Amino acid sequence: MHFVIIGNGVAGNSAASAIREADKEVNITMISQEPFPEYSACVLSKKYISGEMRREEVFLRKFEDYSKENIRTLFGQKAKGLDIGNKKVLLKSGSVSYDKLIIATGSKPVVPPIEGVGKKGVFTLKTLEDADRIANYTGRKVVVLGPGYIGVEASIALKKRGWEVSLVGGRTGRILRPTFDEKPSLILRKVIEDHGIEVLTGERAVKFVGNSRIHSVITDKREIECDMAILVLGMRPEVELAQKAGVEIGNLGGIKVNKQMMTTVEGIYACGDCVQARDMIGTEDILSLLWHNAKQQGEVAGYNSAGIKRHYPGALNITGIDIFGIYAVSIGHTMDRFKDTRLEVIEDKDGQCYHRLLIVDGILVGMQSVGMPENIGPLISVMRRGESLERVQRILSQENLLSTNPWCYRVYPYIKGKLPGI
Amino acid sequence: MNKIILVNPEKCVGCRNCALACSFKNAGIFSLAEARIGTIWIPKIGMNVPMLCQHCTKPLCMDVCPVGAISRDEETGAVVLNPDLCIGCKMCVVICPFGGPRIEPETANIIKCDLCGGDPECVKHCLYGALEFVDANEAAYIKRRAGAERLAEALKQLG
Repeated sequence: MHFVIIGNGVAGNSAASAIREADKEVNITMISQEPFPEYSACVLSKKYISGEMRREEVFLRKFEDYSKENIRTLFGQKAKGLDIGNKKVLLKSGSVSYDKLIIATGSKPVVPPIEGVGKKGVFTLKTLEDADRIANYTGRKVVVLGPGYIGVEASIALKKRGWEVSLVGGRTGRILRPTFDEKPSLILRKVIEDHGIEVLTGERAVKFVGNSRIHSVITDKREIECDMAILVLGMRPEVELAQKAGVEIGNLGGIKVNKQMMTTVEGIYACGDCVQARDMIGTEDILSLLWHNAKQQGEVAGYNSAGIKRHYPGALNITGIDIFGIYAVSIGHTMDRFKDTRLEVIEDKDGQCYHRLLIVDGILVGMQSVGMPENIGPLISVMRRGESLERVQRILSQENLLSTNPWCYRVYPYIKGKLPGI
Repeated sequence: MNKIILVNPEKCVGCRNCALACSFKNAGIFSLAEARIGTIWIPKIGMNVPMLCQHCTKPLCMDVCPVGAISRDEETGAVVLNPDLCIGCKMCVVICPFGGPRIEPETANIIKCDLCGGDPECVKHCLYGALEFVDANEAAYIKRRAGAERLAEALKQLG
């Protein structure tokens, strides 16, 4: 039996570990376009490009770790195609036969066709090589295009490194739109601005200007002089290989999988950023593109491919961001997802701390918190189990239930005075 | 068989001896901020509840750590944090329902219980039996029994 895994990110590696745990004997081959052993993509926009982390600290495994687990590696080799009929992965020269295939090709950055986007000094930020290019580039002023998660993190990291930073893009006023509603978003925007990062929302880049290196970015409102521009406009599932081979792609652009993380082709599984997975809260698929979801999906895909039945419980968005010491967390969905739904919002502000809970039909569907990361865990448990807030309320308001579920009390700061009896 | 710390909240008086002992063992000073264990006070029922890592069978903290800094100590069975690998992203703090991983306020470093390598200091200094270091199977049995009692109680309440 030969298992082939395409991709050496967290999903691929977690699948490999699961297969190896299920069976010590089977052959496992990992194919990866990048030449490196597994590294943590999460640290790149944080402590790596800020210079707080050395390059060797980015890696999660060494080459010898793969051989210790008896995993054959074909790194630095791109999978060119899939021959599903003959169960083969086609490489530049030759091919690899498989019995079971796991596609963990990850995601790729969105690069719009802006004039001059190919010029020197314009970078994306996804891979270690991208991060190296940014970390090694010299200059004074950087324009970060895209005030999402990676954009905000990269702005902070480069500011710490001494760059003058302008964070540009997004709808008027808002940053971190995919994870924070307007109010917390504006609180966080102010923190960023107070630390000397210029935030220009409601405009977008239309041209990069420069000869050998760029020297400015032109937006639809102004020209901003800069030495470097970073394009962080989001990630999309990397599905080219799967799509060309006839594996079905879903409505969101991710590979379609069932609860066992199997694609529409028998024996081919997919996991991580390249799939669209069932939402843990709702019934529709979501693109989650987050570390913990990829890890869990890889595990489920690995076990199922090795014949051990596991169900994927669904993806849950959990993101945390440290903005100059102010820690903000978002769980589940934001209001944007519930435009046509009756949504109840519980919110509170206490000094620098702010939080809000989003509730639909008595079920917690989202929560955002600024400045208080400590007691969120029990709320996540409530969300994972799909419990009603009424149940939480009942526990908190009845002495004997509370004394047998004392941990539940950690939820209290978020709902005190907001629900009857509490 | 691995042992874990079993919490009996009804016996806790909130003296915080556990936290001070923990802090002294792990940081060399007596400071609640340095402790890997804390207690919460629930005024409604007049109860103190020790909060510490449960060394879960399937730890959520281990799943969310993006740098593999959290692992299981094969010898003690404890879920341990390697401070050299930790980047301080706090995802473990966010996801844990029990308040296991904690933020050290001064440095913002993450600290968590490692069962003191198999001989937990907090248990030795709990004078009231609120913390016991017991066989994991036995703890599971005690917890299951408590869970069953809780269920019975809840059913009674719901009528």
